[in-house]
Amino acid sequence: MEIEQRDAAPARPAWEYAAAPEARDIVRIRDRYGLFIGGRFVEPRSGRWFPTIHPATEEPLAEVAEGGPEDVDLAVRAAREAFEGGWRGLPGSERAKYLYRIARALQERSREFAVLESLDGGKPIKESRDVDLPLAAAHFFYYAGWADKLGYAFPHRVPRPLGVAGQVIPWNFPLLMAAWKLAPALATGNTCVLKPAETTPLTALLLAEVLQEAELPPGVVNIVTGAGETGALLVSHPGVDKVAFTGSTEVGKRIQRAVAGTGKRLTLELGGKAANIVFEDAPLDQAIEGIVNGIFFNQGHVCCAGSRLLVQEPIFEPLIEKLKRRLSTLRVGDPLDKNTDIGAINSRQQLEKIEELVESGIREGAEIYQPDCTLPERGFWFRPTLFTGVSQSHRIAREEIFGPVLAILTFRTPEEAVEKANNTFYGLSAGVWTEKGSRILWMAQRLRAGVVWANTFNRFDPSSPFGGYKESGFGREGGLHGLEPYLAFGPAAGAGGGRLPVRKTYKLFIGGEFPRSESGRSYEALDREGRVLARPARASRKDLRDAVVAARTAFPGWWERTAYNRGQVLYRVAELMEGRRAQFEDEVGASGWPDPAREVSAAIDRWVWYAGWCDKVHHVLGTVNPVAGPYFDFTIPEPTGVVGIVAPEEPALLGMVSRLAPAIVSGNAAVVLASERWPLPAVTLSEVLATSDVPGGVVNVLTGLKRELVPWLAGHMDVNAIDVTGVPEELREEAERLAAENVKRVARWEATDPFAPTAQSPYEIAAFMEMKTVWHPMGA
Amino acid sequence: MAVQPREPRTAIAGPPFDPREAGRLVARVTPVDAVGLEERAASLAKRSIKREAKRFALDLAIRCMDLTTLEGADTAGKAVAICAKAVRPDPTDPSIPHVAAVCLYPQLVPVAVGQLRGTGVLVASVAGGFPSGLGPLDARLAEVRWAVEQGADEVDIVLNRSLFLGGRYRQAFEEIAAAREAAGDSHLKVILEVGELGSYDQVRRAAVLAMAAGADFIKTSTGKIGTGATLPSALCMMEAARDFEAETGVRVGVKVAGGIRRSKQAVQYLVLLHETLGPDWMRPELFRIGASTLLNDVLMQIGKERTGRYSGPDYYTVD
Repeated sequence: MEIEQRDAAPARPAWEYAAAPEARDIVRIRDRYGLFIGGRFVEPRSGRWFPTIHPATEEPLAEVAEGGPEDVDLAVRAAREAFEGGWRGLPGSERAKYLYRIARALQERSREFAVLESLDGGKPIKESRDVDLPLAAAHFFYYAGWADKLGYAFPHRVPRPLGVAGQVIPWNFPLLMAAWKLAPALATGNTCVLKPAETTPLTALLLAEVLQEAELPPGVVNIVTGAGETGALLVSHPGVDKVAFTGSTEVGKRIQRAVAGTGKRLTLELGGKAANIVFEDAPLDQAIEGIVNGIFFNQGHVCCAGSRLLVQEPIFEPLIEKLKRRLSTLRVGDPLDKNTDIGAINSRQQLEKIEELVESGIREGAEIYQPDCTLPERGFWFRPTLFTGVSQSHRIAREEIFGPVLAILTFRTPEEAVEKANNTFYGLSAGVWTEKGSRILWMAQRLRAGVVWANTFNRFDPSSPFGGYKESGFGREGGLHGLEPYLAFGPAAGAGGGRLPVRKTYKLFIGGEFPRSESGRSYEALDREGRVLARPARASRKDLRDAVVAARTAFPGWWERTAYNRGQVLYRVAELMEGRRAQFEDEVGASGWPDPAREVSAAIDRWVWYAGWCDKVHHVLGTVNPVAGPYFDFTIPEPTGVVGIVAPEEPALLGMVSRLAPAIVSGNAAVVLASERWPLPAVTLSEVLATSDVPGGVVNVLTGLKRELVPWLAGHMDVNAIDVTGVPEELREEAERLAAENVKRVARWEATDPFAPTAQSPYEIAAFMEMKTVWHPMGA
Repeated sequence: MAVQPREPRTAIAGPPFDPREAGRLVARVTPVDAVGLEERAASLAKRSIKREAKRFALDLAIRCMDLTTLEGADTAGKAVAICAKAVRPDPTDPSIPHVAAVCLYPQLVPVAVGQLRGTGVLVASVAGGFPSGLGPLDARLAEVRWAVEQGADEVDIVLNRSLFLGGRYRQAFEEIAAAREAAGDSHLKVILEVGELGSYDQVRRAAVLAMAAGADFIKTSTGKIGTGATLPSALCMMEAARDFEAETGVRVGVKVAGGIRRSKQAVQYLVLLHETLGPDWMRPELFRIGASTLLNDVLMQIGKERTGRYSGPDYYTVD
């Protein structure tokens, strides 16, 4: 391939920095590492080992055990024993002390860890030293402090650990990702089985030594090394209660499918294709630093890398000139040299992937620029690369490259910037560069990404929640929000029965109208004696499609309303429900349900309760995060978009209200699959909604057969979240597997007693929301 | 001591811009984000400069140094001493180069001119109502003219912060332009006094204003207030100089001064220079470090690099 290689700055080399290598002898690497199970290193039952190398020289560093089925089983058992045998019952203050010990040990041995991280992974020592290690230690410190304060984190709820967490981490920040996974899991009282990445297992194994020194009880953390196979064994092991994964979207989807139907809790932190948006009034020199940091930090092996640069047209040329000039000062080479800015590509496989995508960029007609720099002969290397003349349809603008390759596009107006930035199935992060404060907030609100950096990029802090929208995954790591994925809040159950008093046509409710099913079909809704109560519409796949389109169309308008206005509109629904009370009671009673009046009252009260949260949910779920440094950092909850709700079979009305209300108060639009067996109150509720001020399309209600509808809904690519509370047991796994197609958030109502006050909570609203964290520097 | 021919003066950067053009440049100064600027400066300060790279830097630091004394108590005797030090920083080591210039008050210029004739060391004089710049304009310009007449190769004046911070950019510009004219063929260094400007946006605006008004150098500080040069403010000025060249083709030098006492600081400023303005700027014609006590620390570091042993202050002359 032909690549233009030149130095933008006039060449007059006067001052070469002498090599400044960090000493390697600080770390002693063993020849072989076994698996860390039950507090000690053991030989793998699999009998297999694999080498790990230094990607800058390809020299082998050590042999590492490959965990097979028996090994994974032993590790999960060890974790279970440790969980049941004391860790779960240990007071939070005691757990905290172990975490503090780990944090301290990481600080004491930080240089040793940093050198090992750079050796095994190829990242520059200045990054492992100044970013990975301080952040890893800080993460343990931060979550140590939460271990005995969980009651304050979740007021009015009784949190308890989930059990055994299976955690699979990537190769780009090996130790830091281990810290992100272990610290919150241990603080909340879970035990862990951690699977480090195949190419970078060594710092996790050194961490095992630290855990031993900290006298962490055996089995609380187990480390099973291996490749994807081992990870797959871990996440699908029946003894695992919680799966946490950081890695590619492709693997994330596989995991979501594997976990489907098992009841395991899941968080995914997946890929990204972040837009870094530079307006013409931006602080240009700092924007250049942000762009460079955004895409060349850690060789671009960063899920939240700013891999798409969107430049406002008037400053395109000066910005590109500055950027090229800046690229010529980047120092590519020995990761252990303290002056190295860009280290080695992590593996041959990754290098080949980068090369393949870069070639596609050239083939598709984008213009490539690489600065002139000499690369070492051995090892895996790639020059920092810019592509101009890129359009949205190019592969390099759509696919995650995970390397030092920047695709540059232009825009004219803020609207266009938002449109282009959001035009991706990823949604992990975004950057905005402008001097105009109001524009920063306007952009931050519209960008569909879990982290928005304003006039900065790639900032991380243990107190600041991190995670994605859309196919970038779900769940947050860091901050208060990072605790929730490792906790449960109370057990679950249900009951019911009835008879139908009136006869009418029960239709679908789509986009504010009441069509019959496009298929012309209906089904028999029977009472408990097997008598036909009614023939409600049997929604087809096309009806479902129409309902999703209606919801998608209604979503922006509903969200853009003020929270106060949504609150009033929803409160009015409760008023109207009260007026239809008799009809609801008849329909609920027709099912043979013991006390219909009580259920209808509870449903109306619940609706009122949730309506009141519209303008308060930010107080509970939003946080201001005390990050280090001069940054104002806050997390705002946002609706996720279109929510699919599979309503519980019983109690039909209260169940539907309990799931629908929390979904729409925050601004989502919903497609509800009504209770199949007792669909009538759902249709009546639709009629109430149709006469209310809730805009058409915000709520769509389909009646029909769940075995048909659930897979269609779960597999729909334009549905952002699915509530599986009412999914029949036999469909549960399939539904959750299909949800992985576009990485849907999966929510479930776990109330034991649907009437109890604990069955309603702002955290049910949170289940249908994204957390967006915004970073903004504070400087004069 | 061998008599060297007097270094020819490099041409001055150029006459002041037309005020309207200058106004255009000042009005659309690129904004600066303080946090990002400080992070970049801090990250460059972490470069590890070792062995031959360090020797190069220490040597360059001396070649770019304006050895300075600006005390009310300065006498002819003090001026003579500092000139001797400037020419031959380490009497035991003839391989150490001379500094770029000595910098002193106007009254001592004739003494320095006499001492430095033929040595290659330039004479720089502060003038123009240093350090506040708030005397009558005529008197300030007269002082500039007088220093030049006495033989000053370079004149260091101050930006009128009173006008600048009051938003009277045009007047501040015209004062510098007048000083430019008064300085004739001598180099004009304009001190921005960054510690008084309040924000990096203003540092950058002041830098552009001074460059447009005909400054050959923009200089961080007088050394007379609590805050002298800082890495971020120097970086901000270097970025301004870099963009000024890109836009106008005029190369303006940068001088850092005020509180630079240790070799390590000097090396950090050189790293900023190297990675911002590039190799072309790494010479006394376009970069200066103003300092009084830095020189001996640099000599001590050079000694350490050569002998492998740390020395003590008694082994270096105090002039």
